[in-house]
Amino acid sequence: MSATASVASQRRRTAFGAWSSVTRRLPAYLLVLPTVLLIATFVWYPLLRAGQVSLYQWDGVGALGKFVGASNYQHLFLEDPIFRNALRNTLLWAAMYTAIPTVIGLAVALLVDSEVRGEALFKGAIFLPWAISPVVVGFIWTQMYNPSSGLIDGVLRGIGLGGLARAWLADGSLALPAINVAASWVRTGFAMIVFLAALRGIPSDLIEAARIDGAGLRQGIWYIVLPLLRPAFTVVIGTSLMLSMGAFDEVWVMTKGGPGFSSYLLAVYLYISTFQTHQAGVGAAIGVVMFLLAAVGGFLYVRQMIRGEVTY
Amino acid sequence: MVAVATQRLSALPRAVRRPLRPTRFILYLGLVVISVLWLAPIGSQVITAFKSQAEGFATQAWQLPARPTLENFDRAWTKIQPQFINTFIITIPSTLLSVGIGALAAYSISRLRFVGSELLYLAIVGSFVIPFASIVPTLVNMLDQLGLYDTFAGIILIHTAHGQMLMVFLLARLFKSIPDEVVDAARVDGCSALGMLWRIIVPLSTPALAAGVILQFTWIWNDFFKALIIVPTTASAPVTVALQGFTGQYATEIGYRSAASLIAALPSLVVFVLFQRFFIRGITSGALKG
Repeated sequence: MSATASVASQRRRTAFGAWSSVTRRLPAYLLVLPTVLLIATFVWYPLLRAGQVSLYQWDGVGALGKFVGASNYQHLFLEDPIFRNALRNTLLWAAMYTAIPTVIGLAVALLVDSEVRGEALFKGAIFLPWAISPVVVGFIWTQMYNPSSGLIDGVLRGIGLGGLARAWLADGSLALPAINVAASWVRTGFAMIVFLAALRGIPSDLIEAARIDGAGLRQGIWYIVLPLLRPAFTVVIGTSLMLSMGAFDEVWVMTKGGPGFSSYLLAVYLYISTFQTHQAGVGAAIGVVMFLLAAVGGFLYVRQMIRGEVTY
Repeated sequence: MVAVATQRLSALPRAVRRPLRPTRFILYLGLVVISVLWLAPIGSQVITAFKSQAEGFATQAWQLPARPTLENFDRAWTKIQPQFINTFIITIPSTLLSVGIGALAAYSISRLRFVGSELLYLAIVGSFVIPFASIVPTLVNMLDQLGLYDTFAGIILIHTAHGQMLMVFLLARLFKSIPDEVVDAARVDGCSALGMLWRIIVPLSTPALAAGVILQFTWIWNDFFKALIIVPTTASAPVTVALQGFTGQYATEIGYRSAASLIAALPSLVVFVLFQRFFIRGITSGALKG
């Protein structure tokens, strides 16, 4: 039945013509139009335009300058130590921003999921920084790292480890990891919430069955729980990698990329190239590289979103 | 951790669980230690805000102020009040517009369906991977030519546009989960497309819409990067951009800085504390951005 019916209906549709199908669907198109216009104008177009201007010399204000082909990219990758340093820093940032929240967030989620009292309190404490603006986070942690009045050095001196106390943000080799701790502090609450929701979604009888089959505690975690958390890992790791590529706020507030160039991230270098040295063509080239890198982590995440495997 | 976590998982009967007391103690100890570590930076900031300039430098960061003062808050409020109001002017319309427009699109894509609706959904949700920084070099010039640079309208449009990806994702998912029978019944009763949205879908999705509003409010209130690029001058800047200006100028006035940052953080913290379960619902129903 279905084959002939569908052929018939297809014929009918062509016979009525495309116009009637458009008018019938008019409300659908109209409702989606504002969103499409907004995204096309303020997301897709500026990105395409960034691809275009990355091939030109441009000061970011007037008309496009000379067409230079791939030489902005060539310059960045082959001749520019600041860019390579920013790229290395961004990868280090991504590694820390992925590892710290994943490990601590998962640990806290497992702890909270063990029928504790005051669960909301513990969850709230870890999740609270997530609601704070990155500028305020930058202030809080600048103060934490303050060598004379900050909590960290104060505690180190108080417990007799004064030798470790230092001006964290003024030290070129420590500034970037120190800032990342602030960002990861915020991020951990998000990871915890995602893992916790995933843990709660694991049916108890599954674990019960494994227990009856003689699985030990460690085996239970390793062979049952962790594999079932795979979608949650994808979400946490995918978004962390993706967000790391465009990270800017905390670094800008705490060190502006300094001391020297030591805490430059891609986005910091992009900002400085565009607005301070007025090489918007180079800035756009950095933006394109950043987009391609973000798409790798983002792809994992978006695939998961669309498959809808993340059902808690 | 391993043993502890498996307690719920193993679903042991109560009698069997009793002998595990020491493990329970370690479990609570771990949670308390992590919670204290996580709250300490905020606590230290709060304490500092109540100390005078002299006391801030003479005492340790964990010591409560001997003579608590509101002077820092007083000064900070006078200084950042105009930008604090700017933040409201930017945040409220941006939040309502991004959820409202996102809901229309989500409804169209998830319930009305049309040629290419799946593809459009992919394109909208997929745009989430584009870092804001990537479009920074071209965006300012573009807004300038449109006469939107350094205007409330400009930043509101940008927040609304960049909110679409996640709002469409969050809401389309939930609208799709409404049973077909409910919607079909309304259609048979002669409801128009918009009528169905307003009379059937919206009332059934109030918690999801509330989650959307609260998430957007917090993200936009806390935004720094977009505002720094688009509304950098004192007349139109939100409080986050004004605060950032403190870094050089008032670097040594730690009490003043702390007080200003607490004032700036207060609205989103209050919303967070009041509506925590909506945040959790919003995040877990789509596992949104961090």
